[in-house]
Amino acid sequence: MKDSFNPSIEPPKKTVTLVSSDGYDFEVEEEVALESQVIKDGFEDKAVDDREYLLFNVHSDTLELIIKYCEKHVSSRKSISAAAASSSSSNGEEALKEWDEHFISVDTNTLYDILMAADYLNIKSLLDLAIQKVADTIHGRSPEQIRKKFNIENDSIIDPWASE
Amino acid sequence: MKQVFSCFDQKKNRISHMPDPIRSHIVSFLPMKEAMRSSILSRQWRYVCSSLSNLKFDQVDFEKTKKHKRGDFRDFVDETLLSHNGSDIKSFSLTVKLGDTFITSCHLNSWISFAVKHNVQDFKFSSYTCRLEKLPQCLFTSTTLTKLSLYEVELNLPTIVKFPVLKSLLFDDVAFRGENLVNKLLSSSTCPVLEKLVIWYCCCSGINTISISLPTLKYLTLFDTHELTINLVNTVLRELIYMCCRPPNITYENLLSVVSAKLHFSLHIGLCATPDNTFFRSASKILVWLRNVEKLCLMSGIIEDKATISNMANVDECWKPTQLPSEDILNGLKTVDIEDFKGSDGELYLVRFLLENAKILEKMHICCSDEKGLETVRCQMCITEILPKFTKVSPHVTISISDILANRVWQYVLYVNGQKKSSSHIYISANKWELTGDFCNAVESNRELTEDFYKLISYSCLDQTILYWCVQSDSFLPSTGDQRYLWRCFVQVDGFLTCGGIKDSSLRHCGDKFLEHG
Repeated sequence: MKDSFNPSIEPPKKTVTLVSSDGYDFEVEEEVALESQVIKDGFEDKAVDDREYLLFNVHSDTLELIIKYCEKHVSSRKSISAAAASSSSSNGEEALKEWDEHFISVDTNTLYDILMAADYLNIKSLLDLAIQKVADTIHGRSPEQIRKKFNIENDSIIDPWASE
Repeated sequence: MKQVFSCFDQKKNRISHMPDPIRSHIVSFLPMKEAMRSSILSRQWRYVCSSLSNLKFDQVDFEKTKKHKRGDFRDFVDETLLSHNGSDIKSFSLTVKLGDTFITSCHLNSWISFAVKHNVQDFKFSSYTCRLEKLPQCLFTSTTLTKLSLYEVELNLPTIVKFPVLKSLLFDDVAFRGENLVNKLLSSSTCPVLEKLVIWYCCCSGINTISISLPTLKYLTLFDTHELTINLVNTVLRELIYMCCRPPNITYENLLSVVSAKLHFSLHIGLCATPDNTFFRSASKILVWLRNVEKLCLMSGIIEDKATISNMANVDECWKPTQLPSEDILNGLKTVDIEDFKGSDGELYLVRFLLENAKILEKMHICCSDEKGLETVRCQMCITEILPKFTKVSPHVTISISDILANRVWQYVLYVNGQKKSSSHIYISANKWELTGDFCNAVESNRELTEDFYKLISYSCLDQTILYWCVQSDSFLPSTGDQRYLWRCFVQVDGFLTCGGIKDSSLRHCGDKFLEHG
């Protein structure tokens, strides 16, 4: 209890540094970084002046997108709860959904990069968004079409569905 | 984690080189059949769907899509379960057509036991044509089950029933056998943590009383349980949806916690004896006891019916809140919906009572009765002449009135339900519609109903300012002609449209087109 009155303790640092696999530093707000469950899990144990994360699996291009996503979600959540508190109607959630839809409309390689990064950083909503997008491209296609679309070589020994 | 995307070849076929859990996650977002089909893409994909945690088998859906041989569905389920790698199953949903000679109770037993053995949390079973007579015993002692939904089964309960972690329980068109066993099932010793209980259309031959004694229960829905007497004891409900013949036996303490209530005591179905004074006394008592309710929806039966108009004096008598001082009631009430309003004295008394006592009431919506003739005239008169004269204690109350259309949809749904015995859930109020799941299946499977339904939508749209339509069923696919019809309906909506939840792309397209038109 006494510690909390000690003036020598610095106020908690509000930003953390994320380092991409190609060596770029990204300084982001704490709450934005905490969207990642992986960062959140070990966050309290880490010393305040050592809040730097080396993300060996995330390229700077992808990391930039991920940060953009997290920032948007943090700010939207705030505005949605603010709207709810003042009981004024808002279509914040709809707008966010639309934003997500637009955000994830990227080329296949970028989509995979986002997917893998979301998995690595454990950002559940983003992972689900990316996976849904991939599933949508598979949905409704025949195995042959899927193979063509994704360049999958058919090396199966038997094809039990071949007769279809 | 190791970097796997280096060489050019892999880059082209990156999806196959993703870690198994991710690919498994991807296929779990696909319909079961497509998910299973992914195993033949290549060797790398062979075992991807062996760890699916959400298994959904629907024979009706399965046999609809393309030509199939009899027994294909059985083989499909068998193969899927056989290739499962032994990891836990989160949800298991099974819909079968009973009477199919290829699926014996032996198969069903082994499939359901499989789910239980793999620690299923969310279990749903539905038989399409007739009631399944017996479910395997192991289901009733599952230690992992948190959600259990049974449609069209005969509930022969074993002597040992225990659901230690069950939170949600749904019975739709279930035949109960044995009063004691049912009461035992709906008690805290069997379901110690149950929070949500839904019972729709239950057949209980030989059972007169159901007692529900669940202190953890928060949400209770009871719908058309025939002539059963319902006893509610030891409950701290938050939400009560009660649409049955007679009011439940409940005490004052048990209703204090209710925040949202929807009440309907169906007198007109003809199953019940003519209601007497005790009926109305207990109906009105319940209303008065709901002193912390914020949202209230009253449907027919809560107020007196034609049959007792001669007893008006008594009805008035029982509306007088003798149990409580009037300043202490309806303190939290914010919205009231009254459906099937006929404009009778009893109803007017109730409306006046609510307006005079609900201090922070914001919205009152009245939906007029469908019946033609004198009552319509009377209803009109009430609305234009009598209602505005009532004293309103709340400073911000708005009263809205809708005509018979929404009401007609409701009755229509009851009709569909009665005919098809489907598990439709529908909620309609002034200008908001929400249709979910099986209702659309019921509509879809019947050509005549489909046309009627679209007509109904278009009629209603003429008057509606906002149409919120949420279709959660994947299989709701209108034909091209229907789409055009539907689109026309949408265009008639004089306001805005939210196509939230519409999964089918053609429908979504419909909506987009509409939005383009502004």
